[in-house]
Amino acid sequence: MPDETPRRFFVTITADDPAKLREVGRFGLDLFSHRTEESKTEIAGLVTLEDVGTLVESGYRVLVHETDRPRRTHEYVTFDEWRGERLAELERQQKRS
Amino acid sequence: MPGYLTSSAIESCLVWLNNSYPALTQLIVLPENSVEHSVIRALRIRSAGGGDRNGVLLVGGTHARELINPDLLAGLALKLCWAYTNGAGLTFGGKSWSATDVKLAVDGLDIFIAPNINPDGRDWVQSPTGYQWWRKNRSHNPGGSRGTDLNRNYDFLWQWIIGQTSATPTDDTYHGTAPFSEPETRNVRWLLDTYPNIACFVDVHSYSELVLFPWGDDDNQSSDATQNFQNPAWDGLRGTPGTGYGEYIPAADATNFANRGVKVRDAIAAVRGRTYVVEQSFDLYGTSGGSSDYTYSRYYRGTGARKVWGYVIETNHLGPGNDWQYGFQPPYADALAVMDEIQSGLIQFMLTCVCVVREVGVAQLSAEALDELRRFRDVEMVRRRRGKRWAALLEAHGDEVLSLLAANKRLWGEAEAVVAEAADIVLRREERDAPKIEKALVARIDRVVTQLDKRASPELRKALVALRRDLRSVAGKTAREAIR
Repeated sequence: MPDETPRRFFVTITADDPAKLREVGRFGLDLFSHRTEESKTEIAGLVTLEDVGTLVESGYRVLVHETDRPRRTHEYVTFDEWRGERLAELERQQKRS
Repeated sequence: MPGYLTSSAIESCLVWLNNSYPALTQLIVLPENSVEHSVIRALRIRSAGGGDRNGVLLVGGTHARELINPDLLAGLALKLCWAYTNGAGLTFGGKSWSATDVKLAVDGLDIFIAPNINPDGRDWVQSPTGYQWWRKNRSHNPGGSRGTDLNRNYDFLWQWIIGQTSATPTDDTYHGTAPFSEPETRNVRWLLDTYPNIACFVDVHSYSELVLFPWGDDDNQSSDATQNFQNPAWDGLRGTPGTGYGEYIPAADATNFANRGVKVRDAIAAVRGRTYVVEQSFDLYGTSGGSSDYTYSRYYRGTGARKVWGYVIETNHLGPGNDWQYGFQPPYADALAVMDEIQSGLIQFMLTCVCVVREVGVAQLSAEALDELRRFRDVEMVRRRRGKRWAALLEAHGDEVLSLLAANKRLWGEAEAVVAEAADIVLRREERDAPKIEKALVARIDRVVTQLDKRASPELRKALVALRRDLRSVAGKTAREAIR
């Protein structure tokens, strides 16, 4: 966690009125829209508990899913390894064709 | 399976590509270092010869936590250089691009790739002591917080804080202290200013599986040109429901944006069946200071800038069980599949940006002649009924026409002859006795159209029917009379 960023949570924000859902942008939050399997648009976000309170007070439903604690550790690759793999794949493709 | 590239590995990639393909690439050191003093580079890919081609600018890494996209763009650069040099095509899952397609893109365009415009942000995301979900750059804000949202920092209605945009420095959508207050966005502006041939732009983000086009500040409308971002009468009212405001976009541009977007969508879907949604940015949420709005809006500011078809692509989707973390940073094996589909979509996008007339005419016409033809299209054709229709046909179907011509050497030769003859008529249009279109030329154009029609998609076929109808009445007319 960086010192300046309080613990945040992945949330889903919904509202009965689609226009109201669109207005959620005015809170200046870190939001990302997506479509569910049912093609319904939801707004997801990464917000603090304080933000959750503000949203609920403003009439939104907020489902809190999980904290922003990293779930997996990423491994990084050197450029040489990366290049080797990409070129090998291209050469495999060329042989196949 | 190893993971993502670091910022320094991406830099190494660009340098290596330039060293390995010196005739095909130019390494561009962007004029400003990042806030934390990293050098930021772009790569230009183009084959030798012909200085007047359209440019395509692809930008990645704007939002730091969206790790897929810089790797994706670096990989695309490598694949294009490799395929062009080896005379090979490229296969992405179920979609193959032929060696001819690759050649059309590299011969017909200046391809600018700036894969990682926010290296400080990426470093912070990848650092064990950093924050994995950091979105902004790492600038120092008033009050001690860090970071500006670079995709709110461009000069498009910057001061109006529309939708998901914030003037609060601690917010993730903080727009900065001024338009272009950040070196990272100034670098993108510099590319657009320095290479005025750039006509197409994509800013690659994650996630949501979307292909987004302008405008982002309010709903698009094509009926009232006075409702536009430059009209102060509407200041403060944009992006708010119930004000009656809609951002003006010419109907032809709206159609063109949507049509190109659908082509990109289809090229993505052909890889592994993921269907992206093509829509106006504002349908996602309102914003001000966004990159694609800025690039497209430059044309309307009276500075003589070219029209830039600016898009944002949101790559990837939620993971199983609504896994948000997956959307931004999937395991690398899954990220590679996303990269494949977007690389395919971007090749399609590039092909839509190649100018047919330039490609067909370049062997016979001088750079000055091609410039003059472009001027005729941009200044005269678009203002006349028929001319507008023909320009729209080339804009919407140019990629398909080029592919059909490229697949048939004889037909390409016939098209070359037609373009050369038609160009002569256009170039001499201001002479006292401006040449007229002869029946023989009309007949030759008709023969080329007939051949194209045999292999055309239903959409192109429909456009060719309209063209044929127009051709019936152009014989005996000058260039200016023909486009009326």
